[in-house]
Amino acid sequence: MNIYLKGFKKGVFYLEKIKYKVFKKFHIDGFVFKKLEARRDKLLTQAKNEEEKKKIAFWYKHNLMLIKRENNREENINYHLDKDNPEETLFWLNVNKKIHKRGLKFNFIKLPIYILLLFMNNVFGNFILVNVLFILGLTKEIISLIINGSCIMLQNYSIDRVEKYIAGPYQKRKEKLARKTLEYVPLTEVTSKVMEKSETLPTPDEMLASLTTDEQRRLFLKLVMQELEYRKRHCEMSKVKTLKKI
Amino acid sequence: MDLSSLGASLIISGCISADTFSGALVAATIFDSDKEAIAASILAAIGTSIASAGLGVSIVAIDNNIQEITGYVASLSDEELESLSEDLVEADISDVDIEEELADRMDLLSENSEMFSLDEYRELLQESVVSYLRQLKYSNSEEYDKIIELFSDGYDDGELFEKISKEQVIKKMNL
Repeated sequence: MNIYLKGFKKGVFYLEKIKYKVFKKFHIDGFVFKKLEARRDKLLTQAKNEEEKKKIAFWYKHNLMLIKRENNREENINYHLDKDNPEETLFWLNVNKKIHKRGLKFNFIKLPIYILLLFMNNVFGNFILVNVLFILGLTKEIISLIINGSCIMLQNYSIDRVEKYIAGPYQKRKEKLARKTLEYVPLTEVTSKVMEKSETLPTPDEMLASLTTDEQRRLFLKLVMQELEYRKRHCEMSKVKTLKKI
Repeated sequence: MDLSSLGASLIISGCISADTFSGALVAATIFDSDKEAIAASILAAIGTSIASAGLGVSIVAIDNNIQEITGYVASLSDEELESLSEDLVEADISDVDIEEELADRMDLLSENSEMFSLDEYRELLQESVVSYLRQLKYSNSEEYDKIIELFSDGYDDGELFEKISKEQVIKKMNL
């Protein structure tokens, strides 16, 4: 990764930190969930059969889960590799790249339009306010073009890294994951049914009520403790990084 | 924000539909004298960027249920996780085969039905069935739906147990 991209990545992470703080302070996630719910309802009205409805219900719950996970862990799905599910990280990286590519396309369309309009205004009228507006637009387009181009370069770098991870270390990790999947079958047998039955994400109480054996309780507790441990470690690492900077 | 700033802001907003976040940042830099406008544009941009990331895409396949449950756990807030871990530590869940348990209770009831009054019998029956259904709802949802369909038939719980006899319950539940 070159120096420019390193600096850009730092800037992105800095903005991300601010974003999560703002999200928590102003409870913006509520607004996002409402948008997601409205989209689901709209898609459900367009669904042609039960199969499609099931897919939409799954899509809704999965996205809800991802947004909540992102806010809780403060890890953007575009920049943090999910080691147990790198295919999904790759999918989101490509989604993000596509968004920036579309943005870049618009930049290339709008830039010459602004230049032409600016030129025409100077030739035919030379209104100062209009000039200011067009210069503002032009500046915005140039900055946006730089941001979009840098984001695409960053996505390409990340995509390359994730693909290397999938081809290498992930193959070994898969064995470990298969063992973990088997270990957790008694729990997942029950929880997957609760998840499927529930219209939205089930509450912790509902999950708890679904447990019928002590083994399930023990496995669920293990997962919860692992997640708490992960967040604690993540929080401590951030503190160490901040201290190093000081 | 004065009228020219407002006009410029509107034009910029019109231009940034494809990349809201970067556009809002530029707007925020330009109109740095108006803190409320900056905050509003950044909030709107962040909200929209997140919403669009979560909305405009197709479904990613989940290979197995372990990813689903780990994802669910990660979606819980710190407070919810703390509370759930405490509940899980305290929960007393004995290993019981619920279907076997209900069958035993039903057998006991039918063998000794003459010992109970109608009300007592109904109460015991209801207690057994409700307890069974509560657990069945999560352990075997297909069976649960089947039973609910067979028994509800437009009755509420009270009416339901007035209408059905123990033989019907045993017969319908294939016990």
